[in-house]
Amino acid sequence: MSLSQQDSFLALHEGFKPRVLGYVRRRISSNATAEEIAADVFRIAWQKREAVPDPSIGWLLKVARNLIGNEYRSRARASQLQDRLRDSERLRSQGSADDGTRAVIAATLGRLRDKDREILLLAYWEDLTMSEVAEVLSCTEAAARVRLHRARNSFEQALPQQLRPTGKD
Amino acid sequence: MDPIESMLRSINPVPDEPAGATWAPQPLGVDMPEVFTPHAGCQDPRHGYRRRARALSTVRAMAIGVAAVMLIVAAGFLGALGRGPENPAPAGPTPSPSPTTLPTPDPTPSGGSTPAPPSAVAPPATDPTTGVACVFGNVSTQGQSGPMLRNIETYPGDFKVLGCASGWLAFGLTNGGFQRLLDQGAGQGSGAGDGIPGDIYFARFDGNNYVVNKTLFAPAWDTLAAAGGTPVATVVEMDRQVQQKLGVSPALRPALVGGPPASQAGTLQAPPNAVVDDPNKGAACSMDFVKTMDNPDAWVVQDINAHPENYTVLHCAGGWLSFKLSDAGYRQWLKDFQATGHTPESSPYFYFAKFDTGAYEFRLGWTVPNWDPRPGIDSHPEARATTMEAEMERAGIPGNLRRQLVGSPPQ
Repeated sequence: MSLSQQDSFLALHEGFKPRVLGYVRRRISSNATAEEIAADVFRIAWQKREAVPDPSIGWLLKVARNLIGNEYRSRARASQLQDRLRDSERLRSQGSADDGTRAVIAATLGRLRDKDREILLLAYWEDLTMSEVAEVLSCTEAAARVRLHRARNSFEQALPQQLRPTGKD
Repeated sequence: MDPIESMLRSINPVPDEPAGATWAPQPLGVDMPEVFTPHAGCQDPRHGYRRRARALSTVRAMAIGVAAVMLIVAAGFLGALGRGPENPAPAGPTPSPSPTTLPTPDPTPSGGSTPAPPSAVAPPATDPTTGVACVFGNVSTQGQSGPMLRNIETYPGDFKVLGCASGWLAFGLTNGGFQRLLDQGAGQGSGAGDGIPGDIYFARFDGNNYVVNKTLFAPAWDTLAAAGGTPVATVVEMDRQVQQKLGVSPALRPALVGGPPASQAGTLQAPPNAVVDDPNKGAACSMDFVKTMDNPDAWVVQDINAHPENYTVLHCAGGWLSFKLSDAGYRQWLKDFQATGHTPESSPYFYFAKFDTGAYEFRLGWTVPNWDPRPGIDSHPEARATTMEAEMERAGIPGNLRRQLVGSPPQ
């Protein structure tokens, strides 16, 4: 193992750990579990360093997504996400002038299909480019754009009428 | 930014993640980058905020990353200086702690006359065995000589208490304390007396004080992790160190020296058996890492401890390990039951153990009847699967892990 290999791995860890940890923490209500999963992502990156010497943020988040795993789509993880959204909205509403709008938005997001919710979060919470979103979701960039468009429509349709930007049913 | 994007951003539970910072819960809702306004002016997301945020975060991450790498290299270098050539070379990436686990530098200038502040780590209030407060003020060297021992008396703030148990107090050296030793010309790595950051030192209660035993120390967690073990093996090795050197039960190890930093092993050492979708944080999926937690008199607990070879691991998933009696084990179990006059169980069970701090813990009650047909249970595979999930839930095991842990009912 060369020193440069170590250095590049450390640089990778330092550069991307916050985003990976943020990604997991947005989906897992347990902070300790989120830390463990984020650590696992980089452990796997280290294991795969020969095959993937320069992993992108998209690749790392894809690993994180796999680690959160199929269970993310299961009851337990979906429930965790709901809890996460509810907790954050409860805390946000304390000391703020929010009239409950955020809670409604969070509830709307929670009601979406997993695939719609995921691409919205990747685009707007993780700040990924469409090519990065496509990498995480293992699809083409064009497909990701279509999915995002549909997810936005689904979200808008699921919003209460008074919150819909277009004001339409 | 369009309204949909604005809405979604407004409910981001973790709006920002400072690069390179030690993690701490963030006060949600007070540091939001944007405030939701239903009809805010639109801004092309490919420009403006997103691009600026990305550029800023990239620059920030790079700057902090470079600083962190320098810190790590420096820490590793100082550690190597202190340890001398007899220390094993790390098998994986550099053994220095990751930035997320690096101790916060002491705020007081090193080498000055003001002792460093005590550690923020809160040890147990008292040692249950001695009833004496578990604080460094109760540590004494009783006149023993050595650079670190001298500083224990002079600069007690250079040390932090890790914990107390069974008449022992464990403590460590702060980074500031180590720097002071270096400034004093010590710290050249000749054993416990010199002091190495991260290494764990021990003091024995003598009826009045905890007296430092200069011949005793345990390697730092990151040293053990770098020796090539899995996270579980690292914990097991620390247990062994505590038991062998102090004669203290490994069960007291957490109270005495705590556990490894949460993300240390995962980021620095790749366990050999981990796979991409391994949900068990790299822990070995093996009976070797199953420990029983309660009811030592229960037969099954005794049997697991006495004859782990009689049990077969089914699978690990979601932080749980499932196992069962092997056929040979079941036969042996029946024999033992007959020999003791007890009636064996009518139906074998699946057993479950939950991963926690380096091992899978088995508790009584975490058992579910296996797939063997039972009267009153619908024989249709789907119904059996549903029954299994319900029984797992009742036992406290996530039913949604049924497929991963015990598979599907045999056709």
